Amino acid sequence: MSEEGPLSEAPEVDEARGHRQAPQVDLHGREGHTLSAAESARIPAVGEGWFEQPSNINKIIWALVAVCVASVGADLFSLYHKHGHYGFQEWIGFDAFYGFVSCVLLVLVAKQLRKVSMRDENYYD
Amino acid sequence: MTEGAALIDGGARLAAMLPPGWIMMLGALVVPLLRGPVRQGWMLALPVLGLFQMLALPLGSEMSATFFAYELELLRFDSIARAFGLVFHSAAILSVVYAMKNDSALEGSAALVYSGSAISAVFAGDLITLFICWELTAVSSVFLIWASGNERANRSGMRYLIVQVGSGVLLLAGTIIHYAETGSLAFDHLGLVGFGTGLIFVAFGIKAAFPFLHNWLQDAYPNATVTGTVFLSAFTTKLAIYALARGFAGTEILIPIGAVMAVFPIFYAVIENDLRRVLAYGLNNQLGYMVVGVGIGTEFALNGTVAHVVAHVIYKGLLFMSMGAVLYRVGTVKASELGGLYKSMPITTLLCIVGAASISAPLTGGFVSKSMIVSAAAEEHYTVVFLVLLLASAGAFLYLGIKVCFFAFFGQDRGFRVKEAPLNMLIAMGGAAALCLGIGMFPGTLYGLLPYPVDYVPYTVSHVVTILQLLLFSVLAFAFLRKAGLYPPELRSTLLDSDWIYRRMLPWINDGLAFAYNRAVDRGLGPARGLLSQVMSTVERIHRPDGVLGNPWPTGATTLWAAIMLFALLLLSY
Repeated sequence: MSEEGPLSEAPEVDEARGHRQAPQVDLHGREGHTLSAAESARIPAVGEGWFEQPSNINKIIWALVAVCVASVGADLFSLYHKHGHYGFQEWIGFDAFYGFVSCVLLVLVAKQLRKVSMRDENYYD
Repeated sequence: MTEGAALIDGGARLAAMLPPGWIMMLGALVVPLLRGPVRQGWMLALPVLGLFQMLALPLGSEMSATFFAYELELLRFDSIARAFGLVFHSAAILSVVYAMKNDSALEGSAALVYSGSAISAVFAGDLITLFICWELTAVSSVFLIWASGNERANRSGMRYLIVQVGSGVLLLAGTIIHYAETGSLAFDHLGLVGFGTGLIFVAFGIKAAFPFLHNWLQDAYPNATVTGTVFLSAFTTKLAIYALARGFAGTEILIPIGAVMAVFPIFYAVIENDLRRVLAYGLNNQLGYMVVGVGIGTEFALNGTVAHVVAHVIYKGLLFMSMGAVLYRVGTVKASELGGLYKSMPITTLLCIVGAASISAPLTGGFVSKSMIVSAAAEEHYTVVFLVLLLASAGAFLYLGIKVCFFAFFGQDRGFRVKEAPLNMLIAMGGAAALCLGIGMFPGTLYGLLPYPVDYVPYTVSHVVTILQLLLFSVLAFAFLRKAGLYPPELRSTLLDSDWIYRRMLPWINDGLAFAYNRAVDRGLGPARGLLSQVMSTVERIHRPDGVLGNPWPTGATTLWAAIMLFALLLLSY
């Protein structure tokens, strides 16, 4: 389907703006998918999308931090009655701490797994 | 005209007499004869008709047929079968809409037979009927993989078929032994009580992707066609969960099995590059929750399992659909090559985010279903399992939901400029997204369909805030890891998993043994070799066309031998 990495053959469109067409691979049941020049022109160029501006990314991260702080703040100021089956579930910010640590640990372990299990893309071919 | 009306009337009467699922299986046979819009309409009509037929059945309906000496229970319509039947029909309808533009008759027929056989398996009241449907799902679904038409898919499909049919063979062997032990073919609660039920347990475990039996899933699903994977994601594994819930509820060994299943796929999901394979690992992880729920086996836990199956089928289908749309338009779903697609495919982006959120977030299906299983673990004092499931909730949301959305639609723009997904795909994804949100916002309807009365309130302030903390800080961890440069980059690679054992290790051992044998024969085993060749030449002499055994024996001789054997049998039995 897409094993061959056909990027080099992809016909370029509107190169000046960094646009390119999808690689032409033979895909079962695939129909015409290329954009007209006018459609292509309406799409922001590479690096000019809203989500690509560093200032906007920072805004998103700060918003995330603000919501995170608010969610723990609700615990801190006892804005609601917190209850769980276990005592530790009622500690301030237990779920916040647990979620953060879990996700960091999962990634750090997965990086080690890569050392053992990662092979070339065409290993089995 | 009247003849046509009579034909339609007769067809309707016939359809009403069939067990659910059969309309789709029989209707699928006609698909290759139809063309264009007629075929599309027919393919959509079949699951819709099936759904209405099922809804018209009163709870407690039964239907049986005699097969040799056995009474087969083709239909057992109780509340647990109804819940699975309902979500399977919904998944079939959404998937057919998604696949509407796929003009392959083979794929269309295979998909309908596959969906139909999964549905009839859910209504099977005895183990023989279950076995027949079980094998039908295996044999029909492999065509969804082979339809990709490349070498990799061909070989992957063959491995898939061997594993799936192997599961069926174990089921049949277990059924025969169980019948010999108990004299019963009924598919009710079995429990791990003997060798027969043990084999049945392993057969279910293969399809449910237990650890070390799981790798057919991640191997095959990403190799199926764009539309094929969407069908595959719904039925096989959830059929296995149904079978476990029916036969092995409360079997304690399922709890550690499920807990391991909930965690280990996440590690692979973090570093896997093919986003459809990431979703396949995610599927495996969510099956872990369901297996834990079955293992706990209380009414509350089983309710949670069934609820989570319903929510999971829909949102996982939605995620596979959105990645299918990306594959369809861009030609790849490798994270290392994708990024910035939100500019080209904004609607798909939005719907994919709804699917990802539905894994756990409030107002979505996952929030009202998965939390039941986690709470059940706490209520029954499985503290470690509770903590493991909580960890998996955070990890799954992040690496199975956010990762897929982020690397496909955001991240670094790789410059691909493509069209939005086709309208029929958008309609299917929109329908799935609406169901995800509908289940999450109005959980009462879902709870009403569960096998036992539900006394659970998902929307308490405490529950909403704690889940939000868990999920928000997971996302914060992701942002932190990326900012700190600790997040592993997406690399084009193959990850070794348990499939390595049968794709590499066993062939190596085989080659090694052959090599050792040849060497041994070459070195000083002359006499043995001479003996061997003597044996072989004797065998050849006897079996030659003019040899003793090669000769066609006259009928009289055969009759004589048969008579002698019968006589011997008679003597022995006295």
